Amino acid sequence: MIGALPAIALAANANRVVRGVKVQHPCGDPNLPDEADRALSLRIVEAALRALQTPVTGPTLFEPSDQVKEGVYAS
Amino acid sequence: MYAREEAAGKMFRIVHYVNQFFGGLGGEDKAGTTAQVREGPVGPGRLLQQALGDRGEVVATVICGDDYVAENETEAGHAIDEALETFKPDLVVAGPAFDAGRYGLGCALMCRTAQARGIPAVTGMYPDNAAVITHRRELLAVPTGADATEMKAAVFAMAELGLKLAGGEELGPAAEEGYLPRGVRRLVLKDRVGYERALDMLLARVEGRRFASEVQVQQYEKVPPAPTIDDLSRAKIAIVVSTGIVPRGNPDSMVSAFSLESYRYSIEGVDALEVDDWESVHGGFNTRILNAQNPNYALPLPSLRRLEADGQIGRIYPYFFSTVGNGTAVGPAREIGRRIAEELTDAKVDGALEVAG
Amino acid sequence: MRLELANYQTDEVRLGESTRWRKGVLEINRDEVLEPIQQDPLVARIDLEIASPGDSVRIITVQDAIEPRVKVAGEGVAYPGIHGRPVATVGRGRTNRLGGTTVMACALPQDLQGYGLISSFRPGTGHGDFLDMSGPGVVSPYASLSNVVLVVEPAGHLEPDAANGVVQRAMLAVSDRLAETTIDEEPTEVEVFDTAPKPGLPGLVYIHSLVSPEAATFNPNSTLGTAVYGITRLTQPWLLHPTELLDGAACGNYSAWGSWPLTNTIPLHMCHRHGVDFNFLGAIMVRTMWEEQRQKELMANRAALMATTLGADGALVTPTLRGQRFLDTIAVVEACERAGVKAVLITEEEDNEDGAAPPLLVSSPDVVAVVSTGTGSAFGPFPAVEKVIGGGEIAPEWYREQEPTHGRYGRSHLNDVWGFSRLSCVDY
Repeated sequence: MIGALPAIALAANANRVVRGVKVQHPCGDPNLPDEADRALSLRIVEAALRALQTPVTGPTLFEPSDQVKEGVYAS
Repeated sequence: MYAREEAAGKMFRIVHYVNQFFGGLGGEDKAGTTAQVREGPVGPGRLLQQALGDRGEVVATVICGDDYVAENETEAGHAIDEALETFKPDLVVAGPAFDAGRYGLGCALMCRTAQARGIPAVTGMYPDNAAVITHRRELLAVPTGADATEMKAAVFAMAELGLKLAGGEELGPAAEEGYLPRGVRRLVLKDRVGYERALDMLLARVEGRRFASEVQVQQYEKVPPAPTIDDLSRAKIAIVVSTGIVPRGNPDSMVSAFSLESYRYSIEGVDALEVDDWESVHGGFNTRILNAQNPNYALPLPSLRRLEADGQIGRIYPYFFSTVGNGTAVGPAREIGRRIAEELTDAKVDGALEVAG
Repeated sequence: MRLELANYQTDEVRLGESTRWRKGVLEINRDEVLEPIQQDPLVARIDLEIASPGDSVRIITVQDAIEPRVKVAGEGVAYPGIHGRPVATVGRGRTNRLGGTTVMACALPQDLQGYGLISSFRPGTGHGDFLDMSGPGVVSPYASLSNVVLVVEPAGHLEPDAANGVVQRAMLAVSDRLAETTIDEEPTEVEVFDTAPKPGLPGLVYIHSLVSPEAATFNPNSTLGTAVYGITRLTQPWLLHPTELLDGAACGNYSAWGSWPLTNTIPLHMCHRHGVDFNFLGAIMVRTMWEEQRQKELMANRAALMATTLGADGALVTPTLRGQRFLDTIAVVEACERAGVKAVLITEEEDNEDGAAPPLLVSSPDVVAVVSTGTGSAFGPFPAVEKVIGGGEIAPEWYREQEPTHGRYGRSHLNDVWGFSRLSCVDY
């Protein structure tokens, strides 16, 4: 789950939580130039996919990485 | 044959439940004992009879082995049901089980079976007994210590509470009547206004005195995490949003708050949500950015399509599910999730990406 | 700071030939009081009615309510900063108050769709909330007050924020006019509040949450919220001296049943007990509805730092409800506890859903001391009434018996974030 307010998601026992940007725009930032905005969205979604591949034992917060990763997920 | 009489002045018929140990059959070696029924009180049932005096009679005792009842719930349940049919009690008393987990589950089964027949039931357990945690909402339990040293006090408390129930009395709050909270909260009028109570509580804390919070921290139910997806490049991923994304014009009239359902919409062949074609109807935050600039901030379709095209994920499920989280109650939310999960499971979807709103 | 609060306790409010206060009775010449406001081209219509305790009256579309107060000595004005009023620091000198009364502004709620805000009102609950002056609705504190109710219709061409401003200004104007009637009269009693701490007593702060409309409207100058010295924007916490609150430094409503509790409940009560069983060191106003978790945590850290700098041993914390704005308050409780300031939180609970839902939206191990003010429900049903006061066309249903709240999907009768009623919840 991608959410700008991880506290609620974690309290509700969502097991894999990714920090979003803001309530009004969780998956990007309109204040960034287009390319940076698209890259940010990709990093957030990548963090979600990373979470799907990470074993967890309870509610866990995943932070989007600083860089877009290339070709990491295909196994 | 045993007709019920008026509550006033009558002697109540009680059936008591104990495990193999308190039933005098043996210890762990006899934990597999199947349900036995004896007439009259057995073991602590005698203390129970003492506590009841002439207000009640322990007409029978059901004894089950701890392992038997834990592993054969259905069969044990039938045996209990039969005993209740035979003896037609006005009240069932189970245990006390103290901190014994399997015994607690046995008591819980006894109580639940009785309650299903309209017979009131009371038990006694240590607050952390596993049975309390699992069956909190269904059990009326007197809190006890962890072991049997206070057997008499526990049995006497159970008797008093049980007699109230048998007499058809309505129970007051848990703290007043002396039973374990069942997770239900009800509105009451206190003796003083809230801020006076709050300042007294604060001064107690600051001065190191005891205080009792009016709200205990309570958790939402825990859900075991789903196992990881081994190969994302072959995985089918679905999108679920509570950000209220719907086709422009909101054809299904999705509400902006207090939702009771979700809707599914096709994104087959759609690479990005266009402002002209989609909108958010969420009432809990300002949707101007989504609706005038970019709905993909609430449903990151372009990023997912990019990863799909690059082969990082296998396929995006052709439908996404949409609802609003604004004020939606826990019960309806659980039901919405269940229905979505059902469809995704049938469609052999491997993972879901949710955006919270 | 030292403030004399002169109370002109009012037992009866009635319409009359003149506008004056004598021996507990406030008389109002309706035309005289409304005339200057009717002259304002931004006001399409204004009416004045009186709703007294025990009346068979139901009031709907309430936007705000304040107690008439006027400063007669010391810098500044009552309800400073808002709508161009002087910003001089208040809380000193002498202030007269008409205890037992409010000026209550009613108006049709603004449609904020143009700002990007879709309404969360539930169909079938009318505007939502209502105030009954008799019957089971008297759990609301307003039911024991004589409410001078203004029904205001702003000019049709105004956009929502400006329209709301018109309603607020009308309320302030009538409040000022009525408070003036106390000048040169003898008060019922005078209380003296001196905030200098007394040695040997524990120190407490009051931390109150105020929703900022900035995130919802994208307007840092929006009137659609509670202002502190006229400012509603998302700022870091404000530190106020307790007597500043008594002079109305925080004023303005955001679905919270009025500004009146800000001058008449916790701040007044804590001032009474200052120097008796604790020192009331200060009031910290935090803004809520930050859009990002980090921002909530930052605000909470600053509030906790203010509390420790003041030397507080404990903090009384009140929230804004419902939804994500509650997280801001929980962050404050957590930050205080971690900084060594013991906190007690007063809050309404979420609907229990018969045991299926926890009492608080979110909680944490740091939240150990909570006073519950119930769920916003009141024991109903609420009987039919003879008269309904409110903005717009009043639907006939409002005169009939009203159902009590049915859980989360029903209406809320009280937004009791103050603990002003005796309602609470207990475990069953």
